[in-house]
Amino acid sequence: MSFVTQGKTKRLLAVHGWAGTLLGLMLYVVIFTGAVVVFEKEIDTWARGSLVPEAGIGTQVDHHFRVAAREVDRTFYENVSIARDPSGALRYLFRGHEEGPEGEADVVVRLLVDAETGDVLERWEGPAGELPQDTASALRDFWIDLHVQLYLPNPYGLILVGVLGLMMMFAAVSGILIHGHLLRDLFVSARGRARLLGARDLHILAGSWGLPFAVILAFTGAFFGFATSVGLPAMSMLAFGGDRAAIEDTLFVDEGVVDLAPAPTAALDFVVHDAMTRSRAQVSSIAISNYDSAGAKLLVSMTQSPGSLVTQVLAFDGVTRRFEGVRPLIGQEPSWGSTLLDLIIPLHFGNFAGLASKTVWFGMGLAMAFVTATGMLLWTKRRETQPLWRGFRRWITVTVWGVPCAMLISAVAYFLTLPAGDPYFWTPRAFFAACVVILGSGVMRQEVEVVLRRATALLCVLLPLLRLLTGGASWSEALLAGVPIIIVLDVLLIATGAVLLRREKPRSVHGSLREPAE
Amino acid sequence: MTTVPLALLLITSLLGLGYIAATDPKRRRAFGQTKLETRPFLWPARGAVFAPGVLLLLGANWSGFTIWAGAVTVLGWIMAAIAPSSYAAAWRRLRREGQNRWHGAMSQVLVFAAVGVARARRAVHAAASLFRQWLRRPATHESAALHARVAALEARLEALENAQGAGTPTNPVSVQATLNAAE
Repeated sequence: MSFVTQGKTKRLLAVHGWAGTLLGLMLYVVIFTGAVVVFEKEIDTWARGSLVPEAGIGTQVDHHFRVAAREVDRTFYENVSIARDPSGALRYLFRGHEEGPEGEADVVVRLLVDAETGDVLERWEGPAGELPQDTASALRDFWIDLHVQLYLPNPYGLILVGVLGLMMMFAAVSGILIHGHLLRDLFVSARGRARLLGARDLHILAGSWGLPFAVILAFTGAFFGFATSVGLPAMSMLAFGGDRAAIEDTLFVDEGVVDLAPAPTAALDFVVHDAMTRSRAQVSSIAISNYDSAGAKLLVSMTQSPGSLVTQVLAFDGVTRRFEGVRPLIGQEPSWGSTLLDLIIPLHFGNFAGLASKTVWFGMGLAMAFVTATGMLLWTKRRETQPLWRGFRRWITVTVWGVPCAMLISAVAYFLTLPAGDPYFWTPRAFFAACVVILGSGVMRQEVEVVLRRATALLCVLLPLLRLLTGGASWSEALLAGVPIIIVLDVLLIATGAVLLRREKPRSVHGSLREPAE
Repeated sequence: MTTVPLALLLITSLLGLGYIAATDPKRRRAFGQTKLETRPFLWPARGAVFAPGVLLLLGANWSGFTIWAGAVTVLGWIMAAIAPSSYAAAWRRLRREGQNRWHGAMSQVLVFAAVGVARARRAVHAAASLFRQWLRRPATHESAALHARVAALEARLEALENAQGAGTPTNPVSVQATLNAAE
């Protein structure tokens, strides 16, 4: 039984189709890159060849931290954080303020310290905005940037991705209303891929199964798109007279006057043990405000405890080590908003239960990308007699195969330029150059799909080899260091390449137009 | 939640989904299969699909429930997307392979394969662990030097504690830190 009348269904279908067609290509890029960057940590470990197993900050941090902190001026003790760097070292970040020619400016001291020996591996001091990027993370950062804001400048990219999230939500909801036989068709697979009916079955089947998570991912994605680009500035305009610092203080910083009299900060190792006992999880980072003063506060961020979706931040008195409670993500007191935000983060990133949850989120991301692509192909297939729609159909095919191919080419550029130290420059440029070539070949050639599929397959197979040749960790090194993810990703890439090469015919939705759409 | 119980719960749900898919009237009609008069195990199958989720919710295992729900939708989609003829062809191929090559039931082969994989996996893990331990073993002279260093540090710590005993009380943090450094 349909929920709406036939006339309304037609209008809804038109809006559903047009919205999907106009922004669908960009939505596909966002969804596909999102599915890939679910494994952002693993991709980073694989790309940089890190041989340090993923871990929190450990349980013995106090001594090394105190020794390192002695070498930093007290003016930087205002905000201190301890976290694990992607390279495996411990990263101590000291933040303070300095009077400059243009007024007060944020200044940081960053120390990278060997977690075992406490040796300072690297020291950097300067304005917070000029903190150097870790060149080895260029590939991960670029792919994340592509997903989060389509590599557009702030805030335009975020707003655009937020709009795409809203559009995806609308498409999901309108899809339910249009279809009406959701449960009845839940097991009907494509009846002949070459037929229009088959294309429709493919789209509806994937859309129906992925519906709940499509709504969740779209909503959370739209939230992330709009939260900092529109929501926070709008709130600061309405309630704080445009003072961005004031709203951030209210949301994230303790209120009250801080006692800055010198007093030794409590032993961090005891705090770490206390936090781990309370939350049955590992410590991911520690933030210390006003280190070595009587008003010091410790905020200990934990990983997810077993069975839990959300992470906790535990607050301790910085001097007495007294537990002060679980700190909400925003605001000073627990609230619905903070709880909702607590849930939004794991539900969007899928990082709440290690590789198991990430694998499921990756699968759901691919399913959503499939729904987007089949939806656009179905829409254009119904209008294939018109040359404009036929041309657009080729662009869809080129985008569907071109995005993974261009991403792999950006990875090739990353590995080739990593030894020279400038992958942040070349990785995005290689991607966009590949996009131009792929789109150009799509305009020139009729059957570009086969070429792109083969190129993608070859790149998948060659990438692990290139990683090794450019100084990446070998399989035996990875196995001995207890970092099997490097081998897993290599094998997955080779297997994907082999599967793509084995497929004789590309699965396109060409066929007769005379058949009804049921 | 560990992987094995979650995998078992997922398999339970997928078996239920498999039955529902195989007996679904519209799917059978669409692919020209004979119409079934009754579906005797429909409700038990529906129970098998949802019971794992209910169990996880009752156990307040929120992350397990979310993974289960996500995995059921993805695997359910893949299961439904494969046409009945493909399942039939795969089954025929399996049976033919079983009869021609191994002269036995496929189930036996699968059991042997599963046991073999599990044993091989255990053996590889054990070998890798032993190899790691062997590579990381301290050299004899290193070990002796380490013991000497620890003894020297302990002596120094004792002297510090004696010196502080008369004056300010010993700070447990600095003692712990010195011990950590010595370790």
